[in-house]
Amino acid sequence: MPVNRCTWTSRSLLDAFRGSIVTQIARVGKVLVTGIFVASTVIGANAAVADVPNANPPKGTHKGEDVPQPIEFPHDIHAKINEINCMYCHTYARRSKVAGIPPTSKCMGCHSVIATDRDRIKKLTEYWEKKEPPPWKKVHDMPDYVHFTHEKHLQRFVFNNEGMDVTRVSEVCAFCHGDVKEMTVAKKTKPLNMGFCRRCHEANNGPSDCWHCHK
Amino acid sequence: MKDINEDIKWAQINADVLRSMETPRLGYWIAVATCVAMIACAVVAEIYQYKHGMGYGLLNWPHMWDIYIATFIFWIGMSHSGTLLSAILHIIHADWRKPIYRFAEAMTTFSLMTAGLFPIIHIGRLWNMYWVLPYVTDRGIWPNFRSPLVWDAFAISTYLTSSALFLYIGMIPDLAICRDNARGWRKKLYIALSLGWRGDDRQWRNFRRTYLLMACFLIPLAVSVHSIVSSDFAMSIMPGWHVTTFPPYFVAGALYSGCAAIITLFVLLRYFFRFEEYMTIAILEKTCKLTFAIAMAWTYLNLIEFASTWYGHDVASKEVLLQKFYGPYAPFFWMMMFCGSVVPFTLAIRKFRRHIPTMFVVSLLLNLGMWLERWMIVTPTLANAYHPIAWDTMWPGMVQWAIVFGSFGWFGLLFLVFVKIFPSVSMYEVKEMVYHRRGHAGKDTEEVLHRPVEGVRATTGRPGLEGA
Amino acid sequence: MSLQNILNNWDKYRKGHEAGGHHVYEHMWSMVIDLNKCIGCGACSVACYAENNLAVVGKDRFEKGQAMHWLRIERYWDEPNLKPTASDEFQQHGASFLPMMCQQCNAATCEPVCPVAATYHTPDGLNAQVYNRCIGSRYCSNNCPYRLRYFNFYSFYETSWPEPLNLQLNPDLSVRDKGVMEKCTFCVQRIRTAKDTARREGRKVRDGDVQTACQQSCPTTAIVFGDMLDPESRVTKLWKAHEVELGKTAQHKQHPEKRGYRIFEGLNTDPCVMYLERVREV
Repeated sequence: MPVNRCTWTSRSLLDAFRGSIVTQIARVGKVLVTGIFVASTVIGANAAVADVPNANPPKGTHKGEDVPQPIEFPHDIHAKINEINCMYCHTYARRSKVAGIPPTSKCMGCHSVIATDRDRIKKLTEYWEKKEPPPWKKVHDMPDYVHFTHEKHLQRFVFNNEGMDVTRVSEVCAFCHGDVKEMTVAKKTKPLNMGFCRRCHEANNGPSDCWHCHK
Repeated sequence: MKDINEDIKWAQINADVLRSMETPRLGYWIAVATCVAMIACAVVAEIYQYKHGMGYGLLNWPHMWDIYIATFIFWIGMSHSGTLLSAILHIIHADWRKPIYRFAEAMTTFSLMTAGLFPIIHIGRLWNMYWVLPYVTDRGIWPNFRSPLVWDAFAISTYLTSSALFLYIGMIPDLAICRDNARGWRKKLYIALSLGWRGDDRQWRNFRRTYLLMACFLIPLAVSVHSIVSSDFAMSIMPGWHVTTFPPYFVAGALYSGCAAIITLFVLLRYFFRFEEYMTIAILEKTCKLTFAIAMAWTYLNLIEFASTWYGHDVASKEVLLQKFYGPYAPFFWMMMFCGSVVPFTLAIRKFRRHIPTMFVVSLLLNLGMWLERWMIVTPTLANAYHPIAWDTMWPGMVQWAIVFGSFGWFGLLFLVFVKIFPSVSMYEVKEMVYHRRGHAGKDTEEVLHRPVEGVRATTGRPGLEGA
Repeated sequence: MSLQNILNNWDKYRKGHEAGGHHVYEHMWSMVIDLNKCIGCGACSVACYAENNLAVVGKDRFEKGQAMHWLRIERYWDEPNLKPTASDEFQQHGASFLPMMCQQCNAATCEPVCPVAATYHTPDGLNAQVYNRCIGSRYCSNNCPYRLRYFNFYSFYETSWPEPLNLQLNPDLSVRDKGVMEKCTFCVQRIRTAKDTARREGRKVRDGDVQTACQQSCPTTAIVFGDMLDPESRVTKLWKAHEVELGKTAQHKQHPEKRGYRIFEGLNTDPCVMYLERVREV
């Protein structure tokens, strides 16, 4: 239309002023940024995170330190070879803030008969007989000012998630805990900082109110 | 009475100014040691406060702000003098500013560097200070752009950058003179700093243009900086702070304390560096007159603030005002009124104005008054705000005093270092001034070592470098 | 990823403020305090100390004005017929009490002045204070006409809970270090728990699900807490009964028995706490 043609220049100028300068930069930036991100995503892609339906897993990695545990608990044997569901031991995850360390009785439920000749199990039995819990070290620790509930995240990604099977829960756990199936002693492989949380909340329409997560 | 000796030789100007930068004598080292000792006081206090919390300065509820903020405003205020002298008076062609603007500009930069420390010192978690800046983060959080404290951060950093640049740009021709007369490490320093200044036409043309541009940029900036600082108070709803006239009031107070500080430093530099030829009584008189005018503007703004509160019938504001008049802080309030509104009348009397020791004392009193003014803005409001249960009188503790005390040492140290490394009197501008005055007096200009420049009006003149 | 989020976030931030912030509230938590019932026992204040990990600062620091009482009982000797005798500093009887906690203003004066947006308004109508974001500029406290914000002048946690008292700390709330501003949150950790429970059970938060610590401990039930957006809640009914409305700078009441008022309404802070005036003998 002729009207449009003659006001083309002024229109675009007007638009430029309507959005702030920052938005303009943002528009240009988005193109650049997307390129960088595509590249970085490919590099930083985590093979363990398979396609959980209705979820955009958070991205980011962390060079985990080895946390010396009293007993070198082999996550790989339990979760990978024997395909035990994470929530069998970390039983509180689905209904409380913390996932929970299983009580020694739960370990002994199997290990009073299975693999009793192994060194690690002997050590475990010692603790059991002393009636002391093994002093497990916390690997994934949140600062005091963060309110994190396992329950809500599991509800969102597992139990209230259409097309999601509870047997595949470890894939959801892997969002924040990394591929524990491949580890012996759990290591922190995700940054678990605010940026990491925020990226996932943005991608999955999680709440962005400060007081949802900060207390 | 002439502003400056018009028969002075240009070589003499160079020699006099360069002499001030020579190896310091004992007195200088004593001054440096004093300043360092003062800074040490503040550093010890600050470390103590950093480790143990803000409470040791006896800050309390409701006195969350106290002399830190007052001193912050004081130093910001002092920084306005340099802009006034170099930018405003430059634009209105008041050439008597030329011998004294350099140190005033240095004062601007250094008092800003002092002022900038106070917001950092006064916040509770100073290791998180950078959160007030909108830096790039993946956490998706921004500073609160509605907060005057964020505006402060922008305003002060902008002002500091531009005033430092202005100071530096104005010094380039002088640095070239220094370069040509220096040896050793100084030579290397001046070679780097003078940016290859040769004093040719193109350089002078660009220099003038840049300088004027910076001057034009700095004037609105300086006014807005103190207006923004005033909005720390004016934007709040507290009685005694929520005052519409605060921006001009603060700017007037700023120029006032800045001018008073110029007089102080004028006297000191004149005495210690024997700058009698340049910092003449006539120039002192003009500065005093300017200060007097600003003092009266400040007094007027003070009075209309009282009047508007008084006739405004806001009970809380009125209570704060009355508490200023006869509450626990009244002695300081009346001292402020005395120093700020009565003492400047000595500036109106020619006999006092020409007596240098009197002016020194008066300038210190004026600055004391200005410091008290800032304190009397911050504290009485906190002491007597809306909720009567929170009415409280508080006297700052030793930690606060030590840091405030040390800030003067910090400023002094910066200034002392400055006067020995950089020329504290602008050589080329003094020459320019002498040239103009001489030209207007109709004397011959043969002495001018520089060829006339084509395409430039004769009146603008191009005095350049001696032996460059 | 990150940078894109930042830009989007900025975009949202800008648009949110163009629209004047969020005005769609999920809840509007508010309180009614009946001064007629208040006996000034201070149980609410103590409960608040216990619930919210408030530091006990000791007598010296209290005298210096560095205390941390989120809920303070203010005493006023304003009975017209009872004047203190010359020998007493305060008269023996006739005090009236005013429990003051953060008024959770809807047009809070503390919010716009915070340089880092550590204090902001939540969709629950609460005036939030994010401790770990706070840098301690203390501007909010200066700009609070009620003076209800308290600053951690020291690392109180070092001395306030010697072993084994540290075990009494509430884990649902951070323990604040020096240099952080704090204030009453309407026991947000309880609100959070109630909302989580309601969500788990697939229902809305019912009136009475959330009890603040002060309300719970008040022996005379002077404090009522609830959601103003719930038409059936007790607070809504009380506010209606006393003809007090949110969003007004002055309430116009005809009947003298409508005792409700909000403190400093005229400053247009729009507080969410309504006080019921004490009935006095005329």
